[in-house]
Amino acid sequence: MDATSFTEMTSVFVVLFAVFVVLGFYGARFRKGNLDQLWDWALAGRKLGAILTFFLQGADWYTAYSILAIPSSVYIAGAYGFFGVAYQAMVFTFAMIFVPKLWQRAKERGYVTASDFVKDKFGGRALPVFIALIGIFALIPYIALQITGLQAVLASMLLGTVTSAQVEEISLVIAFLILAGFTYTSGLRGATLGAVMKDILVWIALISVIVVTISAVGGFSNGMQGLPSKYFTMNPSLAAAFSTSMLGVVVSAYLWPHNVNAAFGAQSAKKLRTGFSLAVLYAIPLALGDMLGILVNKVPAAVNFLANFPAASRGIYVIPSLVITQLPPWLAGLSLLGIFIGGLVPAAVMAIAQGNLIARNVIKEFRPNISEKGEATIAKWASAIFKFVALAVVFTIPATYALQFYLVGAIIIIQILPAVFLSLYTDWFKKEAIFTGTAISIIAGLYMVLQANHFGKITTTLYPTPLGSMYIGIIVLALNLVITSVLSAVIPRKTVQVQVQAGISTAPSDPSQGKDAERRQ
Amino acid sequence: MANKSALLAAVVIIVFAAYLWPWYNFVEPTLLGIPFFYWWVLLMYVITTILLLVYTQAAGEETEAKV
Repeated sequence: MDATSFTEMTSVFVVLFAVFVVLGFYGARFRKGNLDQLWDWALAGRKLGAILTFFLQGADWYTAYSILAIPSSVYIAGAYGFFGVAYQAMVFTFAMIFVPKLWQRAKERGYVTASDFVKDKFGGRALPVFIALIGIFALIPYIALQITGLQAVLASMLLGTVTSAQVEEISLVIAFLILAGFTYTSGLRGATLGAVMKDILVWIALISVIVVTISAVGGFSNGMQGLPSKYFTMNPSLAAAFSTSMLGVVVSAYLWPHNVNAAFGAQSAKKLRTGFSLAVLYAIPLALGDMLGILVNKVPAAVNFLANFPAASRGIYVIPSLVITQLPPWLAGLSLLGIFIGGLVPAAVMAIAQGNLIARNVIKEFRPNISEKGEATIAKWASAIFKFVALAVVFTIPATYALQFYLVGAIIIIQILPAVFLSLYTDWFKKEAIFTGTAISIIAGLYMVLQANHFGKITTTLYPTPLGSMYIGIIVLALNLVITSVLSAVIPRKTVQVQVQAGISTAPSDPSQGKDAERRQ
Repeated sequence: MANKSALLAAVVIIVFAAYLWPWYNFVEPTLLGIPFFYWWVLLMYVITTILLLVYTQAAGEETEAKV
């Protein structure tokens, strides 16, 4: 790339980033509310309509990970890597079952987090705090993963310039300071406006790079000719791994605190459902973009570009390589910025969700006298701090590990299924049973990850079984369900009642109300 | 209420049957040169969206749908 093109590309990138920042700060005035209240700051006052819900869900769920890492895994693993997008329709179909119900309960009873539900339903302190901490910890690697996406964008844009490594780190720190600033002032409103911009730019980016690449290789038939068979179909022995990995993502998707957070922002159940339905369409450009992990092999300029990076970490540059070599410089700048804020927006919502959990479900639990304003202030500061925790993780741990960390995070978060999703429908599970089942399965899951990787570098989250390799998250979820069910059956009623009474004395909300609400429905 | 739950159950069954087990892991018939494996996934996004919108209309402001 010559100097003029480089200037053109980076100028467009910087100008659009400035627009993003302005939107983020302007968010504070959007559908104005009282931002000293946690729920108003964190849930945009529950004022998001169907269209904004769609944009926010899309921006929140289809992250820089989806845009960069899935084409990477298709490029490396072939058709098997397509599991990373083939689950999308199931994600929103599954969410349709329980998220509107949880949303309704949240609106009636003022929940901001899923842990609020757990607290309301079971009372006591141990289980809701435990569920909140699981959410906070599982999100750290997920934010870190977004940052590695940001790094890939910067690294590919600055390729060939002398000081790229330092510029990259400084740019990231600046971007995060600005992001922390507007998350603090605007909360979910700022993220939502950023989400609209992000979604539109990512669509423009994906559609242009898809059209240009397909025509460059002369259509799919030509583009796939002579490529290895792994790109046409996957090895049938991988079927169980493909299926269980998808199921793990489908079940865990709306257990992630940031997704719950974004869903709670919706104005009505119908608007939430409409947003979910339309969010499936978002997967179309994404899936086509993932297939560029195949066609990139037939684009010589992109192949040369990729050769600049070590073979092991090359995959994540598939989309940037096509963007930079195939699109005009201004469109390349716009596309890279789209992917860049595609990492920032979800990172912002994830940090908001962490802030809520720590303020409401951990700190307030031990300091019940905190004012509403104090609670909101803690959440705002915590959300800023968590962003830099994730940044520190990225600067200290090599990027190649990050992808696996997301799948490890999903193994952890999926274990809150009995506490949240199942307990929305039944009173049968007892809190001691849930606590034990969740704790044991998380420990077992992490141990199995270490074992599957022979206690070395983490490169897989699959575990060999007689039925083929399977995703560890699903295996330990089964273990969790067995332990929780068996213990719920054997723990005598009497003990439970004593515990519930103990819960009333400490809990501001009476758990028996939760039961009444359950019966009403 | 019962009808809406049945409708959601039907949508869930159709979508999961379409995707969960990779029975669609073959090449022919191709569409514009794209192997069946890929274009089936894409086609079902559109069908899933239509099914979910139909359910959304049927459910209205109802939030108690159960499977």
